[in-house]
Amino acid sequence: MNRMSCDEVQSSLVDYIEFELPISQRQQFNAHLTHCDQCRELHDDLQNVLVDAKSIEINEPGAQFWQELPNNVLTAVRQQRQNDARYTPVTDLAMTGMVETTSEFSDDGAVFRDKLGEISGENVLPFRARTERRPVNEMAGKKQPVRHVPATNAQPDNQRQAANTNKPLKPNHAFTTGVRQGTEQSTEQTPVVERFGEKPCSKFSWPKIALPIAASVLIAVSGVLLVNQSGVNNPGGMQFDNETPIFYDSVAAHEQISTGTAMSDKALAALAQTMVPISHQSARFGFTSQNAILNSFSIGALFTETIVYIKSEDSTLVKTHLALLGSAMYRQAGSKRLLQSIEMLKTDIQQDGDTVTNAFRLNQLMNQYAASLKSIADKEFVLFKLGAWSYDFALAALAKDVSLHHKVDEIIAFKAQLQQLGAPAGVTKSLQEINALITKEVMTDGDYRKTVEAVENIRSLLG
Amino acid sequence: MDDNVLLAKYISGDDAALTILVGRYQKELYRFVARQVGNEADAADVTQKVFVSLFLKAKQFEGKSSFKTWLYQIAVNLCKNHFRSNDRRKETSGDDEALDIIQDDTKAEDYILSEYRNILKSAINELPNKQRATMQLRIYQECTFAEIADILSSPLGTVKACYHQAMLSLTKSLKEDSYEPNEL
Repeated sequence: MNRMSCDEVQSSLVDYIEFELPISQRQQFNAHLTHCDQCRELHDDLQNVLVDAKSIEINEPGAQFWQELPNNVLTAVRQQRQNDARYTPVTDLAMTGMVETTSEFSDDGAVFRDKLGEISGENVLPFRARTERRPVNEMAGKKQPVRHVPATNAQPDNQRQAANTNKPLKPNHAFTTGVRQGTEQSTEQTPVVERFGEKPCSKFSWPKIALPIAASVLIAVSGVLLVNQSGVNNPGGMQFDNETPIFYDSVAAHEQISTGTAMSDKALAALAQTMVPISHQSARFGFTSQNAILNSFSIGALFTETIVYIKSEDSTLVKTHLALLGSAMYRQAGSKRLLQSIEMLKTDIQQDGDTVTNAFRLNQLMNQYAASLKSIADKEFVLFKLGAWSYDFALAALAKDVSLHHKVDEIIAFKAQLQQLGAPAGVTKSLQEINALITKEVMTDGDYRKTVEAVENIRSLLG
Repeated sequence: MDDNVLLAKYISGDDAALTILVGRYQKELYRFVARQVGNEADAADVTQKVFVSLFLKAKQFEGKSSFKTWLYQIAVNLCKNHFRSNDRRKETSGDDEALDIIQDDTKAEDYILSEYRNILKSAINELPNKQRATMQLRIYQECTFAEIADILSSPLGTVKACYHQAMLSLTKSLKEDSYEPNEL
């Protein structure tokens, strides 16, 4: 019998243990092991690791999970099929509850129930209805403060905006949507994305809600940076000098963000360095904290919005919104790791087109952020939750989605929590209005419109 | 009833066939997923996602491989995605440090065993995706190498080499971690 060398034995170790070695070679193998300590030791180690690995047990869920899983799968599949058959792509996300803020959320305060697996990314199209923007330099629900502008730049806000955007002048006027807080400065309309020949969405569209939020986040970040850099003594809140020429940059920056022309990270970073805040935080109804401008509500909405854009594969908006989120995390103490994760996600999105995975990852980061808020303050957590919820809810309302009827419990829970936390009466009133609207037996187009208006009102009060 | 027959029944509108198939594979799939994602807390969600994904694509099943193979193919892909994001999260969250907390009433030997188990789990999780999947399909799911080759869409020889490499890497890395085999 030929004797095997150590090299031959070691390269056949796994085959030997797996009984994949022919019998003739097994005999040679055994013979070698009897006289070679080194190979025997390797063999024993490998064998023992295999035994140990096999002994690792998995803790299984309880019987209830196994009983419910088949039905849960069936329900999820049916729901997904229904969603796939519907038109409104973004509403697919909203309806399937990508961010669910019901009892599961409030139970442990940390978990958004993720249902991304039930969502097909294939049918998601960019949601770009009409965009209307609120001015970045205007606070919600308050009279516009008098700004002291240097003589060389002394021109009305709208003229400055026009100068920056090369667009015709438009007068300031109240929101035609009936929102009771805030005013608009410009209106831009782009074609509504339609599918299967169905009707376009309502004329009320989320971007007019979300974009100012996004802009305010970035602007707020820059404000804090400026304050930190200049060492301003600021015991009562952030103070900003509106006389600085960089005030004008904020208008241009807002425009770039809104139109998605701020493409590169470098450009966004530069914008963050040159912008001033949207308004003084103290003007914010006294409900939100010192960090009001970059508040939890806005960040919640920003997270949800970014997830939607990832799903819709709108690379420009994804990039811009991830940059905004990164800025938001940069601003938050203890969010360094989240910031790193967002940076990694951003890199991966550029390299990997797997939208479901990427959206799933951002959803996880949102959960982590929610958990961190919960551990710090209930108020911030509730605001964040409401921000995330409101975005989904508004999209569902825009699409006239009948599943709004199922949101009653969430609204009641929010109302109670916000009342307890001392939110402005307008917020709870709007929630009450929404509740009344969606519990109607039949919701008319007008009801859906009013629902969106009520959400916008909440946003204007808290965002 | 045969898996493929049940799937055909489901496609033709018999939802009961879905529940039978899920019931048939749910536990073994859960165990596989839990090991793949390295996190039992997420395993339930991912398991459900695998089934949902499979039944959403039911009509695409061509019957070239077995239902089980197809199920594991989907599971491997979803787990890979999940593991990747989870892995990144761990890198930045420092979760592992939390494992160092020892309860007062924990016996020393239990703690040591638990540590060994953690070392082993970590070593397995650190294997490259394909090696980890191969190893887990082989030793936990008891798949043949031919089945694994189908699931991973790889040649048989590659799968065997992968498994071989996984076992050697695992043993080597455990040695470096002063792991004492056969302690569990």
